[in-house]
Amino acid sequence: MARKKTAEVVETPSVADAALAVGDASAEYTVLARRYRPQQFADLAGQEPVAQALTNALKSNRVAHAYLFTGARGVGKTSAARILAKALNCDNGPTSTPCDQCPNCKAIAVGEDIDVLEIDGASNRGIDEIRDLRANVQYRPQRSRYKVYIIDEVHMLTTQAFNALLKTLEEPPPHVKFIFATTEANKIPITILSRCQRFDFAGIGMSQLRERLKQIVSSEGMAADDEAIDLVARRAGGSMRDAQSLLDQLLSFGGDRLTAERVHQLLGTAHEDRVVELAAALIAKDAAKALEALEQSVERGQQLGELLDQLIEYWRDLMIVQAAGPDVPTLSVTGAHRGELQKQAKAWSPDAILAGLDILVSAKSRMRFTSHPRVILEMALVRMARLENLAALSQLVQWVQEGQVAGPRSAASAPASGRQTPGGSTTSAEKKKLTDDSPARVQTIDFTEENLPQIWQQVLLQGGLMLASDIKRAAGYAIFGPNSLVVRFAAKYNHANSELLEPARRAALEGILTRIVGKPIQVRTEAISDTAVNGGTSSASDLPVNRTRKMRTEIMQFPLLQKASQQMGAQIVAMDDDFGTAARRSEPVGVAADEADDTGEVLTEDE
Amino acid sequence: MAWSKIVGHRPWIDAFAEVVRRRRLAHAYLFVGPQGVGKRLFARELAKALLCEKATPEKFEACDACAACQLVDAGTHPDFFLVGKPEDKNEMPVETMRELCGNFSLKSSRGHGKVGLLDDADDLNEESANCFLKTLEEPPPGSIFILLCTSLEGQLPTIRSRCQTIRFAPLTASETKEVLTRQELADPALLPRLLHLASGSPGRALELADPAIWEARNFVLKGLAQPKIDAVGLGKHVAEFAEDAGKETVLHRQRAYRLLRLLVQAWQDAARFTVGGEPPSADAEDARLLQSLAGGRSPETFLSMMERSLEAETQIGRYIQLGLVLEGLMESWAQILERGRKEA
Repeated sequence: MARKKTAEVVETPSVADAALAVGDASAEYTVLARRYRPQQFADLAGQEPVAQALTNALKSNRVAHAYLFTGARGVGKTSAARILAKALNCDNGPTSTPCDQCPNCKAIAVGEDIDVLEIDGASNRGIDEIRDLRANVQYRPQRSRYKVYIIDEVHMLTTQAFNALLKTLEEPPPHVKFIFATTEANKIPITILSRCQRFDFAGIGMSQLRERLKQIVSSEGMAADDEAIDLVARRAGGSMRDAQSLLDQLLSFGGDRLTAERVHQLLGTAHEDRVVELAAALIAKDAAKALEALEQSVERGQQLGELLDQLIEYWRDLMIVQAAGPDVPTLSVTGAHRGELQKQAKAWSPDAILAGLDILVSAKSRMRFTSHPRVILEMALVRMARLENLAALSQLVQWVQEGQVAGPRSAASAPASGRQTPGGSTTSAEKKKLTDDSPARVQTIDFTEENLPQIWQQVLLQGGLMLASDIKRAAGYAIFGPNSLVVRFAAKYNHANSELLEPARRAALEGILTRIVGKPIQVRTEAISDTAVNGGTSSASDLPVNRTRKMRTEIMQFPLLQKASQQMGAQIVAMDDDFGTAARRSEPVGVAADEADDTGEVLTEDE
Repeated sequence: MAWSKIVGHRPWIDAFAEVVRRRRLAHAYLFVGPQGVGKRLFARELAKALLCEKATPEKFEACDACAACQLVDAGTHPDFFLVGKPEDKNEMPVETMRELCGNFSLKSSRGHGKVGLLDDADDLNEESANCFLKTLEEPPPGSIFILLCTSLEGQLPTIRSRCQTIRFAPLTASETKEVLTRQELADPALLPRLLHLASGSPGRALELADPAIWEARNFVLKGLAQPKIDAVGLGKHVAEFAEDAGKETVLHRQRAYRLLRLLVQAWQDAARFTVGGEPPSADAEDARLLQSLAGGRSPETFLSMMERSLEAETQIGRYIQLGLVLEGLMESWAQILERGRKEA
C-alpha cells in the first residue's frame, strides 16, 4: 500500500532532485498493523466463532441492523466491522467473501467509503453529533446497498448521546446498519446493549499469534529466531496489534535477524537469568544482594515497571508450579530455567509465595501513581526478603491436633506482616525451650509470662532493701516485649514511681533482671490511675493486673491451648472479655476489657 | 552537528537513522523514560530532522540552516505541532487533543509531512486519550506523532498498542556529569551530591541544585538524629522554609516536593546501611550522619519512613494545607524513629 508522492511535494524546490526528503520517506511506509489488517472473515485470527456467526448471518440473509463488537485492544474489532461492511456492500454481494477488487471494497478497506461512515466515537461524543447522524440516517446510500455506520470507541459517547440514539437504533431505516466497536462494553448503557447483537472478541492465543508473526516476518523478507517470536507473542498479551507493533519496531530497529537478546534490549526487559537471580536472592533472604541486582538492572537500562511485571509473572509461576506440579506451562521462563523455578517453589511455603505475590501486586498498583517508582520497588524487594516462611492458620491447628512438633517452629512464632525479628535468631533459645520447658532451670529463668512471679521473687530477694521496698509497692508488672518489663505503680505511689525513674535505681533493677534471666532486659515504669486499683483498699489479688493473670492461668488450662503452648510455644497475646469460663460471666465485663489493654497483656514473643 | 546537542541515547540516534534509511518509519512513537533524561530534546531534534529540507535518508540530521529548521527552532513551523498541558491545568484538556487531530486532517503546509510532539502524555485523561485513538491509529500519510511520558503504566492499553515504544534509559554517570558540568551550578560543591542523587536524570538533579534545599535537608536529618527529637520545631522550620519560596502556593509545594525527594533519598540510603549494603555515597560526612540514623534500626523502620514520605507527597498533591502536612510528617518520622530505636 505504498503511497505515491503527492504533487505538491515534487514541486517543492529543495527536493526536486533525486534525494528524497525524510518527511516523504515516512509517507512511504505503513506500519505492519495496518498493512496486515485482515480483509476476509477467514483471516480473522482467533475469532473463528465470531467469523462463523457473521458468515452464517450473511449466507442466510439474516444480518441484524445493529452489532456491538467488544474485546481487548487489537483483537480485530475494527477489522471485523470493516469486513462486515465490505461483505454487505461488495459489488458481488452481499456475500461472506467480499471480492476486495471492486471500488466499494477498496474504499471501505482504508476507511474512506462514502456510504460506510467510520465515526470516532471519542471525538464525536456529544448529543449534537448524534443529532446530525440521526438527520442523515434517513437518506439512502449514494452508491451501495447499505449505509453502514461504524462507531469506534463507542464507550466514550455521553449519556445524552446514547439516549438520542435509542429510537434510531431500535428501528432504523432498512438501508442502515450500525456497527459499534469498543474495548469497554461495561460503559455502554443497558438500553443500547439490548438493541444490539453483541459479539465478544476473545484474546488471541499464543499459537495463533506466533503463526501470524512468522508469516509476517517471512513476507517482509526478514528472519527471526523462534525464541524471539515467542517472546513477542508472550508480551503481546493476546493482542494482535500489540504483537504487530512490537514486531514492526523490532524489524525496523533490529538487525537483519531478530534474536531474543535484541527483543530484551528493545523492550527494556530483563533476561530470564536476571529474574531468576533476583528471585534467588529474595528467597535466600538476602536483601542487600537483591538491591544490588536491581541497581545493576537499572544501569543496564531495564525498566522498573517491566522488571516488576516480570517478577509478578515469576511469582505467579512459583505459585502455579507449587500448586499444580512441574508440568504446567509457565509465563515467565522457558525450558532452561524451569528446574531452578521448581527448586525455588519447593523452598517457600505456599503462604509465603502468596504473601510475596501480594507485596509485588500492591507495589505494581502503587507504581502507577508515584513519582518514586524505584523506592516502591526497593521497598517491595526488602519486604520480600524479610518474609518468613508462613504457614496457614489451619495448618497450625492441624499440627496441634496431630501433635506434630517438627518443622514449623519458626512459622508459629512469626505471624504474617513485617513484625518478625530478623531471620536466624529464632533458633537456639527456642530449641532450648522445646526440650526444657520447666520453669526453673539451674542458672537462669526464661523471661516468659509464666515465670514472671518467680522472677519477681528473685528480684525481691536479690535487690536489697531499698529496691525491694520500692518495688514491693508496685501494683503490677508485665512483660512488654521480648526484652522489656513494665512495672506499674498506682498513682498515689507516685513518689516511688519517680524514684524508680531515677536512672541509677532503674539500672540496678535492670542489672538484677539481666542476671536472673540471662539476657539484657529493659525496664519501663508506668503509673495507673486510682480507680483502676480500686482506691487502693483492695488486696493485691484484686488488683486488675493480678486478676487478669488469674484469668489467663485459668484459660491456659484448656487442653487445646495447653497443647499449643507446649508444642509450639504459643502464648496468649490478647483476650476477649467474654472469652473463657462461664464463671467469669458474673464479673463486670467492662473492667476485664480495660484491663486487657491497660495491664499490658501484650504479645510476648519469646526470643 | 544537530544530534551532538544530545548527551547520551546514542543507540537511539543511530537506530532512527537506520529506520529512516530503511524507510520503515512508523507513524506513532511513545517515548518512555524518567523525567529529565532528555526525551523532549531528543524528540525535538528528531522532529527537526524529519522536517528538515536538507536532510536525506542517508544523512538523517537536521541541518540547522534551512528555513524548516529555523522555523522549528523559532516554534513557528506550520507542520510542527508542539502540544503540552496548559500551565493552569492538571490534565490534558480534550480540546487540545481535538485541535491537534483537526490540524492533522489538513495537508502538510510545506509538503514534508507533519510532526506532532505531545508533551505530558502522562497527563492525558480518559477523554483526551480516547479522542486521540482513531487519529493515532490511522493518521493521514506523512504524519508522525511522538508522545512523551514517564511511565507506561499510566497509558491506556489502547494508546500503547498503537505506538512503537522507545525506552529512554537514565544517563550513565559520566553522561550525567557532562550535562551537569555544562550548567552553571549555584554551588559547585553540590556537584558530587547531585550526581549521586541524579541517578541518571540530570534534569531532576538540576531542580535540586539549590543550596537552600540542601541546608533544610541537613537541618532535618540532624534534628532527627538527636536523641530527643523536637518534632514540632522541625515541622515549623520546614513549613517556614517551604513558604519562603515565594508568594505562590505552587512554589511552596514545589519546594516541599524537592525537599521530600532529598529526604526520601536519605532514607533509601539509610535503609541500605541497615541491610549491610553500602549506598554509593557522595561524601563521608553525609554517610556518617546517615549511618548514625541507621545505627541499630531495622530496615522496616526506614521502609515506614519512606512509606510515610510517599503519603505526604500524595497529600501535597491533593492540595492539603502544606504546613499541616509537613508538621504531621515530622511528627510521624520522629515517632517511627523512636519506635525503631526501642525495637532495636
